[in-house]
Amino acid sequence: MTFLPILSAGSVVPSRDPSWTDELPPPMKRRDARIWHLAYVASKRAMEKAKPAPRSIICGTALGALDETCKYLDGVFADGFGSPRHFIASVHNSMAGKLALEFKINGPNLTVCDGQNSFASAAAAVSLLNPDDFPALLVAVDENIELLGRLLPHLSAPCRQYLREGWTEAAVAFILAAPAEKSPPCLTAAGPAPCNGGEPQRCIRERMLATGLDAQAMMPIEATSGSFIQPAITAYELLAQQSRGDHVIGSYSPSSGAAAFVCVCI
Amino acid sequence: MEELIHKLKEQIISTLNLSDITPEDIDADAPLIGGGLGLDSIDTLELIVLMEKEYGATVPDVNVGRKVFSSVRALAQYIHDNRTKN
Amino acid sequence: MPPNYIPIIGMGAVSCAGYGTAVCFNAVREGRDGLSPLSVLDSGLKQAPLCGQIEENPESRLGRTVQDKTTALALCAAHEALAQVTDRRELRLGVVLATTVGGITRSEIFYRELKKEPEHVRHAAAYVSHHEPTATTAAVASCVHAAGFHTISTACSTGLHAVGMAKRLIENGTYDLCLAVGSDALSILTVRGFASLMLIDYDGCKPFDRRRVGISLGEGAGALLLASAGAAKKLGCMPQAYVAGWGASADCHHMTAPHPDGLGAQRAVRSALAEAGIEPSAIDFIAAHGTATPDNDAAEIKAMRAVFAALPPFCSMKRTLGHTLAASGALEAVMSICAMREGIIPPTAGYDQFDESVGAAPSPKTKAEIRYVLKNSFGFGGNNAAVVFSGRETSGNGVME
Repeated sequence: MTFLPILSAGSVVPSRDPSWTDELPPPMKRRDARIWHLAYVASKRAMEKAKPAPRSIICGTALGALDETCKYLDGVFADGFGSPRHFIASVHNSMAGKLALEFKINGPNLTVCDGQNSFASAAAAVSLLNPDDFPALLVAVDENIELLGRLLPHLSAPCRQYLREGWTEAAVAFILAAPAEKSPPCLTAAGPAPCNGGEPQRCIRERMLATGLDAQAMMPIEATSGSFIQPAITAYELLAQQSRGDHVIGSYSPSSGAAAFVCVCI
Repeated sequence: MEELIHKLKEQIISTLNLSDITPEDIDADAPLIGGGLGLDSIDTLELIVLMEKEYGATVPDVNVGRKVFSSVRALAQYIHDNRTKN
Repeated sequence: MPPNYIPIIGMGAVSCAGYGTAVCFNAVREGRDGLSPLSVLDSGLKQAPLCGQIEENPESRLGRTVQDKTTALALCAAHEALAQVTDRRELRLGVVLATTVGGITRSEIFYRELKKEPEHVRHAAAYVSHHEPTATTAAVASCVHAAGFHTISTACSTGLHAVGMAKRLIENGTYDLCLAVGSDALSILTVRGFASLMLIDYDGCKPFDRRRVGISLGEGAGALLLASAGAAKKLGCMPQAYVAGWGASADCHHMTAPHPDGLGAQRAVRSALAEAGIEPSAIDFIAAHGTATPDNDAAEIKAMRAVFAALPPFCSMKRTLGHTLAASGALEAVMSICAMREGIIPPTAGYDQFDESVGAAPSPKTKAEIRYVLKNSFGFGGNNAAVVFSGRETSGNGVME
């Protein structure tokens, strides 16, 4: 496994940070998509703490700019007039595109959409970049909209099991340096792998053993896969708390039946 | 025409989410796009949708759009000449 | 880093031209107009635009129902790409799937019904579980017994990024085989969305033509099966071509319009060439993005002129196949490889009149020596992808793969 040194991290969890929008430049605050705001503030907080500036962006998101998609379709279905601005924002990679525009990051720009595994899948994709493309900005972001609350009770049991935290919205950003020998703080990740009906926690453990990671390091999956963005929040909190050791954060997506993990070494 | 101009200013503000601007802030003869309001090419498209939706005035392409949106007054004139609704 | 040419041992394609790589390439070779008035879905537009639609239901090809059309098309392409691989033994297979729409073809209908009737929320489970793009990838991964996968979504550039990521996943030893798939079905969201951006040519796109006004949407899927040299040998599969280099960049200019000088496109192309270990002059033809928007075609050729001292011949397949969004990079890559193998530069359907502002015309050739082809794909958000494909396993200076 390749280890990516963590140069800095930033996050925004609106439920705990009511004045987070103060950090938005006024033109953006007025008009742009809320999910862009989340990604922007988390990235800005990470970038303030580290130099040099990142040269590439990999974004992980389960649902993308769902609010914008709904607003666009509202216009189409209501009176036949969909808003161009909402359509543009609704494309999954609009957040990463906006970050590139705002921060002038002109290297590779990828968006990964693997449900609850999006953070792990995006983190694993970072190690595919060329050395020239580092530092890399890894951003995990998902938003909560009113519609999701209405849907939740009607989703399948497995979906509800892995969305116990509901639709937590947050953005977490890490600035990562090029792969190197394991030297904390760093992270490594394994992308989604089908569980083939097996129990997710066990599937992840087996993969950990295959890669030489310590099985003791795995946190209970109930704690780390309760919302789309929970794995990333957990990673950030461990780093912020300076919890020494290797922490394996597993995730599982009922939509894909696949599990993945990120190991944060502090 | 002045009534239409005032109504248009209000509609522009609400459609384009210009929450910190009032109709009095908009000069009826100043350029709409690329002027002081900070509007861009996507806003042109939004205004084209507004025209169609509220007034049934079709703007056939973006090039015509640029002339039509050269000012609020030009916009009002286009609506006056081309409206099929309201 | 020394060049590392990754073998492509299988390909799959489905488009408005039909099912299968050979069928699709017949249309490309002829420069056929593949578009027809949109009828596979009710877009609500007053005038049905010409689109590259697939009228034959992919489920009948597969012999079963599938969660949505995007997934069904992906499965068709994946099956074809893996057809030659009968006994994989312990070789590890990964999948990188590119899509913009995914299951939205179904969830947008759910949303429409929900707005009319709030009680419809009771049906959420049936529709919503396949909404996430990862569900499409999982369906393909399950069918091909993949060990792992990634799902990516960067609009029109995604299909090529999938090819590039698959190359890396083979190079770093994660997998022995990696399937890069791009798939998108037509949806109300995308048809109405591009219409609201006034980017659609209702009468059919005219790439690089003076009269061009916009795109023609299409639906389809392309799949490329990459293998390590060792895996290709074990399987006894002759590579059809090689992935020689991948470049990726962001314009940082505008959320939809390309940089007018194509700066980001230049960077992506240069990266791909550098990774392939070749000079620009080695490229024998460019399979352009060529969407036929006034901005894209001009910016693309301008960018290519900046990279290439002598602009290579180029073509666009968008009138033949439609603009298949995330599928386009993968689907047109498959077509480009077919062209390379046959030694032709395909005609550009829809092109007729020279445009001074582009300053160059597509140049078909019925007989050409093609060793390297460059495929471009540029997406919303100023997202650029470029991949160099090679007909041979090493670069000119004899560096081993």
